[in-house]
Amino acid sequence: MDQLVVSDLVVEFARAGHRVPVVRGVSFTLERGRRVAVVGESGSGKSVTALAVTRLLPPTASIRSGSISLDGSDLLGLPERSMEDIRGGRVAMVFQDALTALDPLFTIEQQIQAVLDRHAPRASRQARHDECLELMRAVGISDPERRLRAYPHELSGGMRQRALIATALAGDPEVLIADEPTTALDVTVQAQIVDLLRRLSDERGMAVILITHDLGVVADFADRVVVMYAGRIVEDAPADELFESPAHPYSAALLDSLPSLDGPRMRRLPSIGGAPPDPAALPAGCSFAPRCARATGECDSEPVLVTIGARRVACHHAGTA
Amino acid sequence: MSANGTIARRVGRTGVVLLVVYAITFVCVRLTPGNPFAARAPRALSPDQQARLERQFGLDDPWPVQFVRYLFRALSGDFGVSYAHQGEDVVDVIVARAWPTMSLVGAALLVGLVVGVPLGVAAALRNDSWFDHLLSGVSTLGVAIPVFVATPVLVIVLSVYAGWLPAQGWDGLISTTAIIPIVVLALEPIAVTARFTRASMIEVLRSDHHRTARARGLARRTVVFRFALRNGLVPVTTITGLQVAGLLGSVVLVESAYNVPGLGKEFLAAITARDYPVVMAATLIFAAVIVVANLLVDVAYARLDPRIRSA
Amino acid sequence: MSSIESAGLSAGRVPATLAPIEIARRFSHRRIALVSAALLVLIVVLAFSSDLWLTRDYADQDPLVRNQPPLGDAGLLGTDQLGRDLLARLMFGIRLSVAAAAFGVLVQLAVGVPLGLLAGYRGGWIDSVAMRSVDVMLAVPGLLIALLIGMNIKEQVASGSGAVADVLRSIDRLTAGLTPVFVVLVVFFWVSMARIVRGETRVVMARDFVRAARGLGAGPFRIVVHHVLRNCIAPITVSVALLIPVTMLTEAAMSLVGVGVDPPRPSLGVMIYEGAQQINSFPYQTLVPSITFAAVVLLVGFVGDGLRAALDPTTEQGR
Repeated sequence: MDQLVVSDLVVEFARAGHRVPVVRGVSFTLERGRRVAVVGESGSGKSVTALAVTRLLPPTASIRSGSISLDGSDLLGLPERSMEDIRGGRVAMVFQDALTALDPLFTIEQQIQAVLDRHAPRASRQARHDECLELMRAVGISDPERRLRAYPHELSGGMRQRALIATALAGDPEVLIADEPTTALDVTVQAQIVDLLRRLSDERGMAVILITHDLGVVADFADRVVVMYAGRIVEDAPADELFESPAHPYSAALLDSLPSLDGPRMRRLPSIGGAPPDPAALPAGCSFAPRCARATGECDSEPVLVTIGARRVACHHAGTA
Repeated sequence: MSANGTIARRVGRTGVVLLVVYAITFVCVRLTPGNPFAARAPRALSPDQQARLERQFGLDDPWPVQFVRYLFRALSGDFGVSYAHQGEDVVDVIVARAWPTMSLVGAALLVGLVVGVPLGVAAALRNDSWFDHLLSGVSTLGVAIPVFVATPVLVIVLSVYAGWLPAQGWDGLISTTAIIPIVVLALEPIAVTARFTRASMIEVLRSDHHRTARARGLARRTVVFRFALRNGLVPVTTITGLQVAGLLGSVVLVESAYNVPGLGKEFLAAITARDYPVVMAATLIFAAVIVVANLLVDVAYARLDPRIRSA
Repeated sequence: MSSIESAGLSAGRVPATLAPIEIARRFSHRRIALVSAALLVLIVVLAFSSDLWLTRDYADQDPLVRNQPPLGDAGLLGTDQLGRDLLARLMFGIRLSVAAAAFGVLVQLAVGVPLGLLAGYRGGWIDSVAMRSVDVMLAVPGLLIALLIGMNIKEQVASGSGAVADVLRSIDRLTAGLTPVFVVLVVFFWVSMARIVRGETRVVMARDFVRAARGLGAGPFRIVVHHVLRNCIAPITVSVALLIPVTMLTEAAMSLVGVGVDPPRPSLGVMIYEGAQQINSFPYQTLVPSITFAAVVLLVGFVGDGLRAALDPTTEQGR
């Protein structure tokens, strides 16, 4: 059953007096307890989409149109106070760099407790402390008693990211949005964090949206993969189907850029020529056409997202090759 | 570097500052030509009397001897005898006048924080609003108007014309006489504190961890006052420390303009009267206050920011 | 106090990526700053040309027109208790303020900048000594030391014997009695500039293009002039603008206390002080120089704010 529904979302940034569309008509659904990966290069609009869901966009950004609903109730129309109940309580976010995402002046326990106080008040000090310990164990932090008393800068990168996830779990959310949670980490730690997110999702029946530019980390994680390019969804497919046979040339290019399993593991090989377009000066027609090997005259018109079987794809050539 | 090591180093640096201040003061005073006794005597002093006075005050010894002797005596709390206040011990002269000065400086600092911080926070929360612009204009004004200008202007308005407050004098900190000096002294701390608070709060409100706190659904009040404010205050402590030095300069001028019988006024009188023992002692006391204030700021800074504590 | 240093740096730090023309354009868009700059120029021109358009000298006493209020028969701003023309005195006082400000700028540029460049470029013990000195200078009771130095210099000029006193006396003849002020400016006003330039220098030196230039064998002079100095223009300009009010304040405070300019030369500080002696009967006598001084300082402050905003690429346009 669909828990989170985003439809026709358009987000614009004010830049030098102009309105620049960064998310251009994005629609997707997230089913209860499922895991979706949103993949794309930086500037594709994936993080902005996530911030729009929690209504944490920076002041220069505004939602022009579209709707976002959680269990059928519209989030965009909610007063700010009610939105605060949703944030952290039902939809939690984890950000990229835990060193800056955690408050440097407060201990991990103080930061978890603040969330507990807000969403799940416990009567006694002891009960709250126990809950903190429980959360630390849940995210796989050893010696939680000591780590709770630590400040963010005293923890290692992976440990910090786990602590950040613990603060997100403190409100017992139904949906966790993780925005590039592994980018700042070593490769081995990256895998551990993704494993942790999958385990938490299974144990708690928590839906997870994992936002990443690295298709490599999502293979064993996601039920479904949403590929974004220049503010639009270009492909949305079950993970195994996408890895098997990507329908959009951009998905295919992303896959090609992954190193083979037996090759040396590296992040993001630069195999896609060119750069993503400036959102202030998008090409007419298909945004990917200038970088696409299969572009034809047809691509001068913008392709719509069409459903083909279990997937959706926005390409004039999808299904023809 | 351990916390104790850091503190030891800071205390060491404090000693160096005081020594430098002492050296500058000593050189300034000893190199000043003219004769403090001749200026004070009713008629010309005979060479014999002059020599006797110089011997009495230890001024006939070579320089280095005087330098070291004064230093050691000062360390043991003996600052000598005032030239101007008939034979009075300098320590007594200083102690009798320290309270008005220190209470004025302390009150101005406090007012600066109590008024400046909320103004700065309000401006940051309403970034780019009319209030923000008004505050930025007013704070330029607060920094620009020197105390020796603000004092007469306030006296003219509040005392001469309105007749609400006394035009000069001192009846203690809890009296109407304290209002004008405190307001005048607090202008710059208020302006500077508000500016710094605003800038640092704007930075904090844009920070990742502020966004995290909001993403956890914490109420705006909690986020701003429990988390962001503490972050925002870290740089403000530093500025508060730097303001002590400025205030100790301003208080000299305010005391003289408002006729407050404090250390500052005494310092000016001592300079005019070439009362060198008082000049030296007052300068050292002021330097010591600044240095101690800076140490306190370092401690407060470390208490606020755990990264400094363990660094 | 490294914490203080970093706070000071981040407060005064301005990224230097704008071309001079762009800076001028951005500055000209700041109406308050532009108007302030124009007014300042006007005031300075009026002050230095006052001998041409005023009939009375600042020292002329006239017992017949003592304590005359402004806008009366005795001149635009009235007269003081000795019957001296306040407008003439005010204009001369402004000249002294401008002289102090100009000398303060000179000290910053001629002492602070080279010292900061040297410390930042060479590092090592030069850097340590310079920066420790900066730390100490920031922790001394500035005004008190300034007054002490002023007292010393004044006495040297008045009654000192020996070579130093002779030199000071000949300087004093050239500087119209501002020697104590100038000495204090030399002692104090290199400090913050040296610190700022040193910090900028180290930042620039660590950048790739400077490393590349060094790698290609560019000499120290070329690197400092071409790379470091050019990147320091913005912070130097801002620092100069921000410190001008402080230099004027130093002159006024020293004169007011009696260790600056001697009567009958009217520093604004002296005028404020003398006027305050009659504050109950003739408040305008202290009000006129007070407001003038505050206005000039405020105008300089507005220009400084405008410059800072114009030089900082992160501020948006407008106002």
